Amino acid sequence: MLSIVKSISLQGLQGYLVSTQVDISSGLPNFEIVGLPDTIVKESKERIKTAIKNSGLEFLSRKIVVNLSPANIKKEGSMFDLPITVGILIANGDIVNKYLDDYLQNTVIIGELSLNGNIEKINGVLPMCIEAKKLGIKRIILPKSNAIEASFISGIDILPVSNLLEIIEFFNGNFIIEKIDSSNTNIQFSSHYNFDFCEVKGQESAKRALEVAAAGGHNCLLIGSPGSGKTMLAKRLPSILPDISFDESLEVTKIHSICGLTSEKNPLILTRPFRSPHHTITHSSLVGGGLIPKPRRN
Amino acid sequence: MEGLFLSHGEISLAHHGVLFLDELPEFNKSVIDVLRGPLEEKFVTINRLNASITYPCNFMLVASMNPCPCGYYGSKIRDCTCSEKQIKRYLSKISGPILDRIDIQVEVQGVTYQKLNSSATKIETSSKIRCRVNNARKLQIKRYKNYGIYSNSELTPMLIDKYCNLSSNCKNILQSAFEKLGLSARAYTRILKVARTIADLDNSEEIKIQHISEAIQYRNLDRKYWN
Repeated sequence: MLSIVKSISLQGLQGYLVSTQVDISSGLPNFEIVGLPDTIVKESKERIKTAIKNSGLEFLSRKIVVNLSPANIKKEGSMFDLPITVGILIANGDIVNKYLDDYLQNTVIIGELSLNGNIEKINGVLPMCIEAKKLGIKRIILPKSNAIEASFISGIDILPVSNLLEIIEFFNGNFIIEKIDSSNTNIQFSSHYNFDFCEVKGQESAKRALEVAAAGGHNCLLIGSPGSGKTMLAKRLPSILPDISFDESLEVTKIHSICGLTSEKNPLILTRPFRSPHHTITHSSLVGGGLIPKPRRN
Repeated sequence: MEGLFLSHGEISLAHHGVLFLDELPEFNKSVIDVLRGPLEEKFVTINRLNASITYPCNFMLVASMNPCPCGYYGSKIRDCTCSEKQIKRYLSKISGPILDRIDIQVEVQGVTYQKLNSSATKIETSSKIRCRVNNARKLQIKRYKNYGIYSNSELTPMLIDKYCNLSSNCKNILQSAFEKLGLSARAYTRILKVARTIADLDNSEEIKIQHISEAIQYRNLDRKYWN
């Protein structure tokens, strides 16, 4: 039997829908994932098999083919664990609901599985929710530990789940997942800083220059002899930066979310970032990049 | 199929914030020069074999450096022991195009003993400064709310024409500075942006003489060291 479940992935900050197609047929026992999966996606086979078994269900030894469409984009990340699992359970007949097709049409599922069937936190949930909303998706099922991060987006239903059994019972109509209230605007901007400008004696002109720079977002160069206080002044710059607005904060959080730099409890980044890389930094870690492109092997 | 996993770098993590490069000449010269594009465009596009991904990077570059290898060139406290050649080589690690993109250049002189020994009570705290900065930034956000930008540093040439009007006196000052300091067209627009910010800090709608002259004064260090 064939089943199709929608998921979402990111290319940079841009999202695209991934249709997770699962087919189970009789034949030699085999489990194959196609559609340019990377190593993390390929490894999901083992997580899925074990999680299904440990959730008290049977993982049938049959021929399972999973296709991640569009097949020409490389898929990376562990968020496909959950949609593939749901697809397998539907194709296998563990999930039965006559409204399922209509429901899944407007639903995106993302989440990583652990071996005991728990659903784990994934990276990039905030940009995924924003992009899913843009793509006209009505609801998104995601790990409970990502729920707060997703709750800053309104206009899309956020359904957090914590383990595989919950989602199976939910689709079978025996369990209700509580929607997250997406009007989460209760934001506390912090104004606590470890360093303060009153610790810097003298240097009035440099302080004034930094004040102007902070007010308009201008680039600034401090030249001076060793020990004159350049680094000391620069370290205190975050304490005079203007408060970050909610829109700016969302943009910053999107980027930090992709590389997993957001915390579970307070995912929104409410202070302006201050990055001070060491001078041994390379091109690609400064502007971004990846592995060096190599000629195609196959 | 390798090379597809593109991820963003420090400049994108510093989006809407600060990228602080301590001891700028110690960085690899080509690494500093990579910043040329992103500093102007406010976004960076990374191209690899099969993908091209754009990340935003609207950051504020703050850098610090010594004026020469020994560190005391131009200092009032100690004599510099470097040869002219050494100083030239050291300073040449910062290329002209990068320097041109830095709106505010400031000299940090050593502090005198009297200042160090004074009590800290009279010194302004960060929260007071931040209050002024916030007010200035609020003016900017309000002014540019229809243009999708947040601060003066993001002004486009069209908006500079609209919001950075100068009186004839100011124009004269800017003209003489332009000729005397041999400024570039980019430096000219950047001075106007800084002058706009200084006027905003002063809560003044109009850019006055003191604003434009303070902005020009932040650009004359490259003449002192890089000439």
